[in-house]
Amino acid sequence: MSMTVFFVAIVSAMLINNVVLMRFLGVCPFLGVSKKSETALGMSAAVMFVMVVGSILTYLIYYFVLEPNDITYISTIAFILVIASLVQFVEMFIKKISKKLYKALGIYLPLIVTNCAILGVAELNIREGYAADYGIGQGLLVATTSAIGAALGFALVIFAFSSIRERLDAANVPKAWKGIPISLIVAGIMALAFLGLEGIV
Amino acid sequence: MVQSTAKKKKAGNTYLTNFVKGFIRENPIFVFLLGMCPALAVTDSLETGLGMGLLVVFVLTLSNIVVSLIKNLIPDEIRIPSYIVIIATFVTIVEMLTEAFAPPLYESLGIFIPLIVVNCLIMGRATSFASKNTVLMSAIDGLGMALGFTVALMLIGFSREILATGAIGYGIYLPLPVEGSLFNLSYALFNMEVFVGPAGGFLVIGIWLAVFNAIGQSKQRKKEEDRRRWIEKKKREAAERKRKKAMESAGGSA
Amino acid sequence: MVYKLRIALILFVIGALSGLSIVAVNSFTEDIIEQNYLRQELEVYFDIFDLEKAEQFEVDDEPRDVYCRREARGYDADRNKTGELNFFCVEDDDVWERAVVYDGNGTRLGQVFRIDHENAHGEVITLVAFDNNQDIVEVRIMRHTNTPNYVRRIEENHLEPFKGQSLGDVSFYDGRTGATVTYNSVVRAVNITADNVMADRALADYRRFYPDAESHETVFRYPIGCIEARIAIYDNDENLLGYIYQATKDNDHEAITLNIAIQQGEFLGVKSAREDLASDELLEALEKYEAFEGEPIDNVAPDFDETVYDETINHLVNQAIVRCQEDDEARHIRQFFLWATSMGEEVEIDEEPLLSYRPVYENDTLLGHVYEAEIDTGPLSNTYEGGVFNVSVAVTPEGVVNNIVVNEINESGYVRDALYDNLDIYRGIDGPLDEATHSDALAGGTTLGGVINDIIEAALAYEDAREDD
Repeated sequence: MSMTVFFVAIVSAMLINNVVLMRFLGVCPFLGVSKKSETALGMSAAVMFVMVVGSILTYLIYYFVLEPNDITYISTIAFILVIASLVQFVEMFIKKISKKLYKALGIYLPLIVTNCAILGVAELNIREGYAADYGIGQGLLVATTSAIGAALGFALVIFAFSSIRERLDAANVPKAWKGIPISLIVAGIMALAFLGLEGIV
Repeated sequence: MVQSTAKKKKAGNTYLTNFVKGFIRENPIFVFLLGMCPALAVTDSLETGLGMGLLVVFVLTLSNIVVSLIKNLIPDEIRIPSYIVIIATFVTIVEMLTEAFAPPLYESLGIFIPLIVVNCLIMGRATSFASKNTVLMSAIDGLGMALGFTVALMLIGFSREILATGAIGYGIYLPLPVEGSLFNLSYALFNMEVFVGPAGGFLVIGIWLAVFNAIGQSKQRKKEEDRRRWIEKKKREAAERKRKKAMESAGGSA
Repeated sequence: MVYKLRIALILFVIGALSGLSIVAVNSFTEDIIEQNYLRQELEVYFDIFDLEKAEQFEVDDEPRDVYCRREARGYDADRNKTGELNFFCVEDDDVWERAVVYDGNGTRLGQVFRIDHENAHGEVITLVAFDNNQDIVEVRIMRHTNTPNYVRRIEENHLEPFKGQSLGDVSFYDGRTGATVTYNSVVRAVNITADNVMADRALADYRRFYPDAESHETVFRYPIGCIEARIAIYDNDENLLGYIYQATKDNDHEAITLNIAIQQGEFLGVKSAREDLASDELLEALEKYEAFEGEPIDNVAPDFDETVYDETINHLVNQAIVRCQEDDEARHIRQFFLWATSMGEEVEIDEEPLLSYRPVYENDTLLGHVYEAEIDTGPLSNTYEGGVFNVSVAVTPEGVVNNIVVNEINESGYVRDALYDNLDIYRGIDGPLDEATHSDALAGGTTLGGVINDIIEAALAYEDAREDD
């Protein structure tokens, strides 16, 4: 296995198959918490952390618990429970470790449980069949890499989008288009831009 | 006797309003912006939108019923985890049924079937409605909300498919007995493929939101205008009355 | 404490109920889902060759011979067969399997290679389908992990031109645009397939006996016994090179499949089919059978008893030889009457030029008689020395010539070839030969034609006379 695999996994998950604009995962926080670039960054950091750890955990559970016992059909229920408990745990942990960090990330954590990007990336890692392609061990590395790529992609898009929205607030938009409608059009144009990246790897 | 029929009528009305509210006044997608992920991802055709909607109808109605059935048994601390388990169970069941009886739909919805679990609409209805209302009300609420969601998905899917392909296919994803396509406006030159692509979802929803906003605003404006007119009318009448009174008093004194 | 226990109990009950309902639904849908995936996988093959959609698929995992892994048949709603797939394992790094596709009537439509390639983007499974002329029917991406829209574009722009290309033009698509990993995987798949079509794996086995082998055909599948099939091997010009008998037997350790080559009564050798799958001990045991190579089959009677394999190998070789002898005899009869199974006792005739006749039967039904005749012309002219002509004529009970076989002829070169070419004209003749037949049959050698004419007329006359009795 060469380094190309990891490079392609990152680029593919971050830019080409961007979670928000191409896969439509995590659109709710994308629209909800992108009014200010500061909150957007905080949300991205929390998502990144949970997404990477959650991907690793769900991957391990799938291949070491569900698959050997032939009960892969309960993966959805298992994954959502893992992610929910993980978020709970992280919240408690951060609260204990650092008040400052908790203040920065804490308010976003409960929102993350219902962020479909987390569960979506965990499911995608299984569906892409990394374990079948690269073996369970190396597949974990690739899955983790693509989770990092997905989180970076999420951060990139949500930050860019929030910066645009800050400007939009000051712009003279027709009354009917104010707020969400014009934001969606902006998102559509961003998606068009990302469309151009198709096929670079 | 009279009182009881009135009460009944009122109750019937609440059932009806409870059912209808999800379609327009409290539409999950166009008003509350809930469940945007599937609304963007699986609406590249009318049929996939409808399919997704039906799955949500199934899950939301049943989870609402179950949640309201056991609302008194569950202590507050474990409400959210139990709801997650209940919803995830129904989603898993619906996933297996789709895989068995509508494989093309399963294939095209893909990852978005398990993601119904994290659809804010379902969790939202469970915590804000079903955990506080009767079973019947919760069932009606779930059905109405989910059908409203379905109608919204179908509207988006219809717009995207007709703009992109000039036709509406049926029987491709859902296990219908017939297969074919409607309209078939073969305006090949104007087929805008971008609308089945990812960007199309954002654009179409944005445009529909703006349209609904415009309608709502014009209604609002009309209402305000009516109100203003009414106030002016009242003012005029009051002024007239005043003048009359003054005239009368003046005449009287004269 | 009690409160906490209560919470735990409630959670447990909810979990148990949800688990139960999921398991119940799963047990109900499991089989349907499995059949769905089977259909999904197999329908692609039917679709490529425009076969009628099947309602139900049946897969037969029982291997028929060592090269064949499984068979799949599709049926429509009325249980009529709409198509059949024969999957063969191909032990190559990339080729997963090869499927030969037949329609509902059993006509071979072509073959499909399924190639798996793992590029930096993940796994790409490509199907490359060829028709019987080795032209590409279609190249299809069955599974991929790239962006769907992008792959759709590849399919429309780059895979369409593959259709109808012949294998000889491989260089054409090598240089095409689209330098992306997915497209490269597809091109790679087509190239690998091309190589594989050229060098069929089974053929490689057969080439160890017949170096010129270019194609093979299973001419006979034996319904019982350890000898499974007789495979005819042809060279580039479709000339028959010889036969291979494929024999399989399970001994205590493994299933042993041997290829036993016999060419015109000569034992060419015995080798393990798919040597890459065979154990070293088996290969070693087979080495001593090389002593028989080149011997007439009547002299081959191996009787080794050194290794655990010897008994099995002895048995298989002896069985193949017995089969071959039987086949040789049957072949001798079949050249006269296609469906013949046995030949009666020879009856001597004392009527020039006829020597004898033998009745030929299909099971118990008389098909006709084979007359053997011989004419010694002696020197005919200064340039042509003549000689002994031995000819067999098959005549049906109705007195019609079914076939003529020249057993011995003292002639070579184009004269004989012309005669052989013209023997067909005698088929179906039922009476004295007229002028036209004479002259036609004589093309290339008047004297020879006259000899054959005489023999046939004698045979028909004898058949007529016997009928009158």
